[in-house]
Amino acid sequence: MQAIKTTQEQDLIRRLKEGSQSAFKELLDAHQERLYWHIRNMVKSHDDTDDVLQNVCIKIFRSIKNFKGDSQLYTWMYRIATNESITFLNKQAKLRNRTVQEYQEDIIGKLESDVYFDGDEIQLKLQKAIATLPPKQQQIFQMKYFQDITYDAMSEILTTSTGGLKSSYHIAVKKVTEYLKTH
Amino acid sequence: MKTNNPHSDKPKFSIPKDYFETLGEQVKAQIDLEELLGADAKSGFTSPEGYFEALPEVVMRKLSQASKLEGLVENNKVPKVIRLKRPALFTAITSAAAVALIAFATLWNTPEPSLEQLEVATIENYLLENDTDYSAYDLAELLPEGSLDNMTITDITDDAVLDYLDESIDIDDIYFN
Repeated sequence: MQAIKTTQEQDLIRRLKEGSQSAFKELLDAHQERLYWHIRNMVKSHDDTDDVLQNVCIKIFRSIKNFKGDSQLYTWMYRIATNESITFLNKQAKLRNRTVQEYQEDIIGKLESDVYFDGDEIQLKLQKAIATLPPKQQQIFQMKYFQDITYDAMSEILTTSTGGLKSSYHIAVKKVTEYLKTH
Repeated sequence: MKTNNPHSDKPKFSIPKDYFETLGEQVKAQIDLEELLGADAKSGFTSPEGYFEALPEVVMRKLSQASKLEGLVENNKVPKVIRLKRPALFTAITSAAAVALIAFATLWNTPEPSLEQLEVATIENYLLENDTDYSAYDLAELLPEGSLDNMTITDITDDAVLDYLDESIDIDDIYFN
């Protein structure tokens, strides 16, 4: 199915496929910040986010010629960012002989001394609560709660039905609330 | 699916089963969370100042460097790096770590050693490997005075003599010399 795109976006995609660097810069200017926060919510540290984001950008530039236009350009980029972040987390956890959840708990344990985290006590507790969720629920909760991504867009990014996403988000909200009340 | 629309002249919309039951519960859960976190909750993460302004250039530079490098590799101008096979590297690292760990544990846990604690084999190995050139007489002189006084030839069993001869003397020397 061909996603509906504006003429402007179609033109940008055409220029990107031709290898235009100025078109790529336009793309970065438009989306880098949203991609950054999407990755940051998953990998937590700024330095790791920077590494993953740079890889994501390079991957986007190199694989744009394979973009079929079945989805919106930004959901396609989000999908790359999501997969890269998951791969990064799995790799880091494996390197340290930890599960992904244990690895995330380790990172969250260091947040208080992170210069790029200025959250208060409740925000720190929120991060700890999110880390207790299964990986997919974490993504759904963060995309909805922090980034306010629509269920339709999320459905394209995570290839999950909107019904399933709504249900997962609702379960995640209840679990996070329960954690915040009891810890 | 409910199709409970009493006004037949209006379009008949339907809603998912139990929609209103779950809606109330979902709204309440969201309100509970927002009461705990505040309506405009943020993740607490920040980014370095000027990061987003600089990022496109960093990415473009990285892309250009990667393309140049790939071009050189394609034209065989850059010798390929021969990587150590992972198992060999892994074995080397783990072996070094194990040796270091054992040495540390031994030094840490062992109290001041005494001569009595050393096994005969350890002393023998030390003397052999360090090429000390001690003769049996030199060694006998190191023993405390009188310790050999009560020792008679009968204290040595036949088996011990045979073992000693077996290990120490080359039988061919006896036959052919």
